[in-house]
Amino acid sequence: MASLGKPGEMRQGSRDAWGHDAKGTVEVKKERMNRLVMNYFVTEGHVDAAREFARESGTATEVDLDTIKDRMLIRRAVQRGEVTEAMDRVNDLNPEILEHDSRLFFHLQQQRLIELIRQKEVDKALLFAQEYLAPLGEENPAFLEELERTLALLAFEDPSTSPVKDLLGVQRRQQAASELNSAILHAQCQEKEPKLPNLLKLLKWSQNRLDEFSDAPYPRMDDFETGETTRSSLQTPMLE
Amino acid sequence: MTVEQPYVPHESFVRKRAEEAVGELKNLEPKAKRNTLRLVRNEIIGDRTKKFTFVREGAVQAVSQILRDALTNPADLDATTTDLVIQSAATLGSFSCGLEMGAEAVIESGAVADLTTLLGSCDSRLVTAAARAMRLLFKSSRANALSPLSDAAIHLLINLLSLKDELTAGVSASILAKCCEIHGQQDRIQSYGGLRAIMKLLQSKLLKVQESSMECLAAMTNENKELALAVSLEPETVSTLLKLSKTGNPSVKLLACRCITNISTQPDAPEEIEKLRVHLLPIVIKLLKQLLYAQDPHVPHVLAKLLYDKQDLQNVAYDSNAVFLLTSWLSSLRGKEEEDREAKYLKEGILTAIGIISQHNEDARRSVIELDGIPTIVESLRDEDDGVRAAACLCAKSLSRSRKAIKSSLFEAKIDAPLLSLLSDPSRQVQQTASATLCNLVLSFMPMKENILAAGGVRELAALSKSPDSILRLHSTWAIKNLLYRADRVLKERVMEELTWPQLLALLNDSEPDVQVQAVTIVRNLVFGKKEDIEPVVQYQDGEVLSILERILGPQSGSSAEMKKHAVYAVSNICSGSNKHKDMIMGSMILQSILQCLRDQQSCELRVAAAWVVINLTWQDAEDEASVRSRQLRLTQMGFEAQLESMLEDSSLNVKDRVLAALRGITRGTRRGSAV
Repeated sequence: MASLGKPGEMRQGSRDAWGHDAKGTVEVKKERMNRLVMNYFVTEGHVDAAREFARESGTATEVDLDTIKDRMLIRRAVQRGEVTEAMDRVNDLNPEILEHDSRLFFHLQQQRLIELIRQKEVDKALLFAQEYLAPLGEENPAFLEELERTLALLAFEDPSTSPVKDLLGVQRRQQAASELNSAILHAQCQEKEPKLPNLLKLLKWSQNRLDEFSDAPYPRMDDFETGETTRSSLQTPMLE
Repeated sequence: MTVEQPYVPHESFVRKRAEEAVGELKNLEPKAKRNTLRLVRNEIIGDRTKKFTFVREGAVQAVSQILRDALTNPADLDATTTDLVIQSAATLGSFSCGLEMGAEAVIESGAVADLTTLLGSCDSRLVTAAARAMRLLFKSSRANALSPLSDAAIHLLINLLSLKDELTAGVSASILAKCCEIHGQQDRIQSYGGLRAIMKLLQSKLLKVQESSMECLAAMTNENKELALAVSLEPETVSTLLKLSKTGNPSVKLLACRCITNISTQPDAPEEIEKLRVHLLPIVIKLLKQLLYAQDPHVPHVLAKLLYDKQDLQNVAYDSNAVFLLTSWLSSLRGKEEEDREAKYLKEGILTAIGIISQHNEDARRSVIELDGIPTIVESLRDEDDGVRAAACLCAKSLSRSRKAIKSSLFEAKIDAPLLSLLSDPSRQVQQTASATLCNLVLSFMPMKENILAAGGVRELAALSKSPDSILRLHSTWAIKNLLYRADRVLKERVMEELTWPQLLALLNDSEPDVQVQAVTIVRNLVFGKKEDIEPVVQYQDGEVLSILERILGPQSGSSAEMKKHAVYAVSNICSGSNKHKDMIMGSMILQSILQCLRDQQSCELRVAAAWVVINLTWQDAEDEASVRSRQLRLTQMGFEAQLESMLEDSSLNVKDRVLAALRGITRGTRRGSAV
């Protein structure tokens, strides 16, 4: 996404700084709004919505929508515990991602190990750990501790009640999935989060700063759902 | 890179599976082959151990064969074949990455030619896959073994720079950067309009793509005046680079700094671009702090380049603690056994930067000594890498400008032995710097002189003084001159034994005036002292040296004032000898030239030197009043007295003092003497 102006850039003070529209509202260009919305769909991976929105509003995407689909398939595969499939797809998308990110690579292999343990495939799990994970630990001792912790799962009769039970939780899959998702977004030079939530945070922060430093009235937005501003003799700030 | 051979668990079992897979890659029908290929790809990506196992089983050959077979009929690829091509490219790329023997196998397999062909494909998926694989190969540790890309390949890569898919364009930019770094193909790239395309790509909104563009820009403008100037004339590019030098993570900033440094330090840079050096320095120093120990080899090089020839900036760098940072970084590199090219390059950069900062700054030199940097520097003089040796030598040269350093640390670290061996270094530049360093080392500290003499240093210097390289002749004669400065007779004899008289005469007649000047000062230092010091010089070949001095001072010589000054001092030293020595001068044409020197309006130093000759010739000698008297008379007849009297109001106070003393000498004991 291109330059969305920073609201903070507006200097406090003179009345006409708030814009020059007589009705007290400032026009935010429709195209900009649409791009914000599109950015949200794309980053969050709502590919069908993005496609439909592109058709209806004519908003172009800077990203190939197919890659979003791939990204979502990959994310879901990890969430389902099918890490091998996810890795195959990532390598299809861009083989450099797993090549260069040894930490991510380790975490995915670790997740594969966790899934084997979950399926009670003890022998396979041991072999897998030795063949795939031990050499990684050998090259990067920082991974050894995590590896040991994972293997500790095998030591318990019922790993789901063990002190390392967190490894078997949904949270763990979620973590791996979003680490992979971020890496893909990074490789495609996309932001890791949509712009909209950040813009809202920025707006709220700016309003608080204004309240702290000045008594000058300004059109304050309290209801983010409707975007209504408090009545004021002044005009509405624009996100420009 | 770490150890090449990784630890492979369950070796025989894993190996057997790899062997089977390679067999399948060779024999199966295309669809099944494709499945195996994908499996192999997924096994090796990110996993050095697996790569190692598969490379050993011959997987690289098998995969590159698949690629070659698939491309026999490139116009018509079905879906399976297309996938085979993409996956084999990805697999070959992965084999090149992180494992030296993998990269080697890929290069040997000849796959580069097929990958290059793919760059021209009309299927963008194939182009991207090939470009990615090539980038991994060009960034691998064996990249130096690649042959230069053909013109056609470079042309294809440049076409990729304007792709709508900017990520692939960026991959191409990274490959082109390597073509410049490894094979020096910047001008070739430029001839296809590469620079313009790169500058356009720099305007991309994708940071990664901008990074790749900067890699390429930095490589293209490195040591290339023409391209650096071309970039500096593009305001849009310069302003983007400036913006990138201030924002983003350190590695992005560093890339931008490399580009700006290249364009702002080239000799013909426009003034406003040259000024960017001042602006950039604090950014680079901050990067130095941030990237310290990150082992990024470029930071110290950028710093060194930025500071080169700029004393004010060097001082700012010192004040910003740069010497401390660099020296501790250097010490941290000590004792690492295996060093790859990158580690060498890093060391070279750190040493160069330290050398440049301490070139004119005594505080900086002191810091290096106090931080105990000297042992590492001296150790690096013996490094096997040309660049490291040259940089260490530069560092030693800067440090040798400090007497304190010579007397303590450099002496203790036994710098003389490695430095002397650098006098016969295969690299001309190292030889030049080493001989310059030696000039400083032998200047005044007797134990150092002794060591160098004992280690055969003069023999080495004498040999260098015969070099066809005039800089080497200059530095070596200079060092010999310094060695002879206020030396005693024994030392002089030992030096002349090595240098030999015929060689001294040859140097006095050298084609380079600068070398001649040094040779004249050797004579000047040789005849400084007692009668016994003068005798061998004037005796050699019936006064050959005197004839040369006569010629140098003669009206038709065209000698510079500098050369004349040293020659006159040599004459003046000879005149401090015995009556015989004085009369040798009295009887030569030199005397007339001395008178001319007194009349020289340009150089007051020359007038002072000439006055000294008169002072020495008329020096009071109780034993032989008569000789003094006859010299006084002759000098007066020649017009010396009149000339000296006309100089009593000389504009230079120095000259005035000497003239007064000379007049006193010339008139002493005579009727006129009482008048002065």
